[in-house]
Amino acid sequence: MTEEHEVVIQFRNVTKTFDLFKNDKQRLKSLLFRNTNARKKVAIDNLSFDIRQGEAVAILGKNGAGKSTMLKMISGVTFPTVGSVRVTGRVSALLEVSGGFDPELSGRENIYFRGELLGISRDELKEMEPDIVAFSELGSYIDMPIRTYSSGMKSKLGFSINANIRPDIIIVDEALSVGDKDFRAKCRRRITEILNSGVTFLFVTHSTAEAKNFCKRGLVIREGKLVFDGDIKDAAAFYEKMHV
Amino acid sequence: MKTLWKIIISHVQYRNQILQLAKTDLIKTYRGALLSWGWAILKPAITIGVYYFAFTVGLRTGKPIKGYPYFLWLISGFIPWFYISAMYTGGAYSLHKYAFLVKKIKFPVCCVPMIVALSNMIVHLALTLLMIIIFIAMGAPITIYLAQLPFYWLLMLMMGVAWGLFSGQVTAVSKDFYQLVRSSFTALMWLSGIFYQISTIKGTALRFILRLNPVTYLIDGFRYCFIDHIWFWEEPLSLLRFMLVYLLFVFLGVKIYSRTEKTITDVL
Repeated sequence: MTEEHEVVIQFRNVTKTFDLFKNDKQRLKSLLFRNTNARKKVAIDNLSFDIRQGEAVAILGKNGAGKSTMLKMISGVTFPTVGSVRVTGRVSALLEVSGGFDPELSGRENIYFRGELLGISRDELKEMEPDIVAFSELGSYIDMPIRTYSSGMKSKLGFSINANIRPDIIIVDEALSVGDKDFRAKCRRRITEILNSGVTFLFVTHSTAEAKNFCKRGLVIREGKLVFDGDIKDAAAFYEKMHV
Repeated sequence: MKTLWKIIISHVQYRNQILQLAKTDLIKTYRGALLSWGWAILKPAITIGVYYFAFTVGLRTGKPIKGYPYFLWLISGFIPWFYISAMYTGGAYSLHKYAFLVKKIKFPVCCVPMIVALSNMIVHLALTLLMIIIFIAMGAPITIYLAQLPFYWLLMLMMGVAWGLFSGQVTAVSKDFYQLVRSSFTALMWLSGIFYQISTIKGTALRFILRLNPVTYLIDGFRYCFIDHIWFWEEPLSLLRFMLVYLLFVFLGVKIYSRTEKTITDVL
């Protein structure tokens, strides 16, 4: 029997519902009174699974299946309505890689800005900075405010930061479509490197080919429910069949 | 109660990040402009200059108060007002301002008002220092009563944070509320005793109502330090009133947060 690694991500009966209010007045009312005439939209429906340290897991699902909501819960920016999510370690999420920057700060300052928010010390960041800057290929643009960046440049910087801050868990959300062909290839190489270093890896994609490349296990999500959990080949086959 | 405890714990856990963000917030506000830091001083200087002109030259009021030139009396109320006004609108907008952050990176929403309150406080401390220099330069006596300034700074910070937590969340769901805050800004300025002494207003009931305003309490407090030379414990009733309003905002802010904690990032 192989040695079992520690569980780093644990979902237990997680349900997330969004309240859809007719208008702002209803929403305002809900702050002070427990009114319940909001319509509910269930985004995640009673989801349970464990992910162990060092696993590479693909998350497959159509648009609107609840993948993003699930990832947001893992990275701690939104919370379940019912159930519990437990995550251990530093999460580096490539959810919309271009997000979470302060547009007024330069690229270099944003490296520190984001790093420190993730709880990385300044000294550690100083050490990482050259790698991040070099990887991003931004050249002298690194000292310009982010608001002057093109979306491609933002994505490059985002990926560079998240891939170089030595996270315990890395989440990639379609981020391999970042930048031009050369940069994509570089990202792939970097991800493979990260994977070999024993980092837990979550990969959200529509492309089963890409998923098979990186991952050993696959979760298929449909309408907020976990419909398949197992070997990536079977998961990919299941997902392909779902489309027909 | 549980939520309040959680909010306090979050502040302790994220103290380094909050300080860092406050610093960044400050740098961002003034960077890029040619005069950069100069604006932190210049902007209030222009405002004070205009009002001073209007009162002394235009309206020809502005007689010395308690032996201090009207100008010094005016700035001792204006300097705290700059902080309070920045928090009044800035606090209400704080969650929106940092939406890009809390939606993408794990950071407790309840700590956002503290960022804005701290960054404004740094500017305020600089301005207060400048005010002390002006007092000395104009030969006005500086007294031991200044020793209670930190007490008022603490109250201003506490009130700013409580207001920010309450108003920021309401703004998040209601644009009307934010408009209300913005349009009542001028009214608040004129009703808070910056330009005239509440104590000289005729009518006990009116004075009582005006003094319920926590802004008045803070502005009076600054004048206690600089002009009136009164200790804060000599006016326990005013302090009590201030604390009651403060606790009301804390209560509302925390109550709303207990409802929205899990959903606020979805709404912003």
